[in-house]
Amino acid sequence: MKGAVFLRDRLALLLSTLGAAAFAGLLLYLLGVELYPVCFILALFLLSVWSSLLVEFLRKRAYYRQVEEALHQLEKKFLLSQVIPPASFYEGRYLYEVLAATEKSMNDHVDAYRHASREYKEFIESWVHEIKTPIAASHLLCENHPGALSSAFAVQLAEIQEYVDQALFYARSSYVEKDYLIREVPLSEIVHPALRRLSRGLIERKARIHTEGLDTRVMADPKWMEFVVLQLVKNAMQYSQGPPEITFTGRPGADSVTLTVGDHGLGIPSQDLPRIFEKGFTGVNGRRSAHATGMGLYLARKLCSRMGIALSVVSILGKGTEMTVHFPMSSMHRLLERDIQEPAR
Amino acid sequence: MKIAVIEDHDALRQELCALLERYGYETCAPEGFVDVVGFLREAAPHLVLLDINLPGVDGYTLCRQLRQESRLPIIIVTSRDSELDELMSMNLGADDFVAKPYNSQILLARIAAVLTRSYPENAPARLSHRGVTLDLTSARVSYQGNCQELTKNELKILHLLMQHPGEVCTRDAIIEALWQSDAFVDDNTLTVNVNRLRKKLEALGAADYIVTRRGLGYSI
Repeated sequence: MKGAVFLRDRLALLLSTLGAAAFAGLLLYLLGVELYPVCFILALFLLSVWSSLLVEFLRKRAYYRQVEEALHQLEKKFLLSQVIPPASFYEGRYLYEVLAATEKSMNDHVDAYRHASREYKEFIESWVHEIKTPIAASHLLCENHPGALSSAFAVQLAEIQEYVDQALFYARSSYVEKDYLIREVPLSEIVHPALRRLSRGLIERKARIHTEGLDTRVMADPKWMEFVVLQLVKNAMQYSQGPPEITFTGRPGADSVTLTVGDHGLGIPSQDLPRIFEKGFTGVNGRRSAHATGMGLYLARKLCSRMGIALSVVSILGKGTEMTVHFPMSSMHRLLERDIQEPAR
Repeated sequence: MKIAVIEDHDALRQELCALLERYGYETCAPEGFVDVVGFLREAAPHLVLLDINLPGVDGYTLCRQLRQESRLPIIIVTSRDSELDELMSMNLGADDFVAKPYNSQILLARIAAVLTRSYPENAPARLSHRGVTLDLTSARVSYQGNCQELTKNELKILHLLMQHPGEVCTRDAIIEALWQSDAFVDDNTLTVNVNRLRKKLEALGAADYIVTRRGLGYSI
């Protein structure tokens, strides 16, 4: 709060006291009072008004400064009324009460959305689990009644299953609360299940797989990372012409462990590179394939960032693409710290 | 070997039983889930495939009850596949955990593995066909008193062929079987492995034991 603004707000009071003083002075002068006592009376009058204004100004400025500072430091601004004390003057108390009321209303809103988000995620989660049973039954039906129709149907079923998993992980990735379990796991326990799940498609396309350093241990939720690696492998397959050649390399570093998934495919055009992790982005290569939904890499990065893991890409057109997952070594400590700061509800 | 299938989805239960029977297992499956423990005591299976989401009872509770009563091997088969579900199943004493929808070959392999572990006396330690004997525990192949050691991949390939004598195993099927045990070989590596296996058999005097069916695969 600036003094000038404060004074401008009280312009009427200032002018009317000045006017009253001038009028009273003139009146006293005409009544024949000597100049000296007139000045003394006027000074006394104006000083009393101005000093009370000064006291009011200092009091308010101290309070509003406190409010401003708290507002500046707060991440969730709507919690302001919880960190400032009620004011000692009426306007401040009024402001405080208004803030408290809006905060309560905001909290109710946040709670409602949090609740809706949980309900939605729980519904998707249970829906996905429900549908997996008929999918499993259909797989077995195909298996028990072999034939051309069954094998064609099995391929479609596998595709359905992938889309179902995408829906599950989408719901998980946008859920506001922690929903994963970080533990120490060797990279092979992430890469191998992903490869096994894609085995049919990879073998059909005569893929060559090279692995190196997969006994390196990382901190992650293995199930989430399996889904992430699955997306990276599918991407590598999509960007390969002819038999895909995919290399998995685990490298321990000073403050992070990296897992690189490399292919010798078409590569990604440099103008597409910054956008490949965007939702719905398919790029030139993706548009050639009917399967690209632009969700795979978007979800992969989102899931990674939820776990504090980074995902980067290097690609040379015509030579291939390398996707690298950076697992922080100290992720355990960082996650613990975050849990302490944001206790589970 | 008798396998109990505890699953409330009718079609899945029937197909699963049909699959298991096709692979030579006996099956039993309750249709009500009020007294599963009593049913299992009566049926006395060698292994239980247990679903977690059952009407009326919680599979986890059931698993704990079964564990308190016996050492009966339990494989939990569920669509709840998060890390937490898996940890919980293992903590409750389940022998293995398979997520739905599963590859039937993986399920069969897991069942065979748990059965071998739980009933070592019943496990076929060796397979024989036309004079060639494969010892699974020592990874050795013998013919007319001579013996050769096999690598992990060679053992797996010969094992697969000897399980289906007279049938053609396609190259892709062999590669897939190797992939399921985390050996991610490609077409060329398979050819190399099969050639090495042939050389070893030839050294034993069993030349031309493995037949190439051009365009199809291999058979014995």
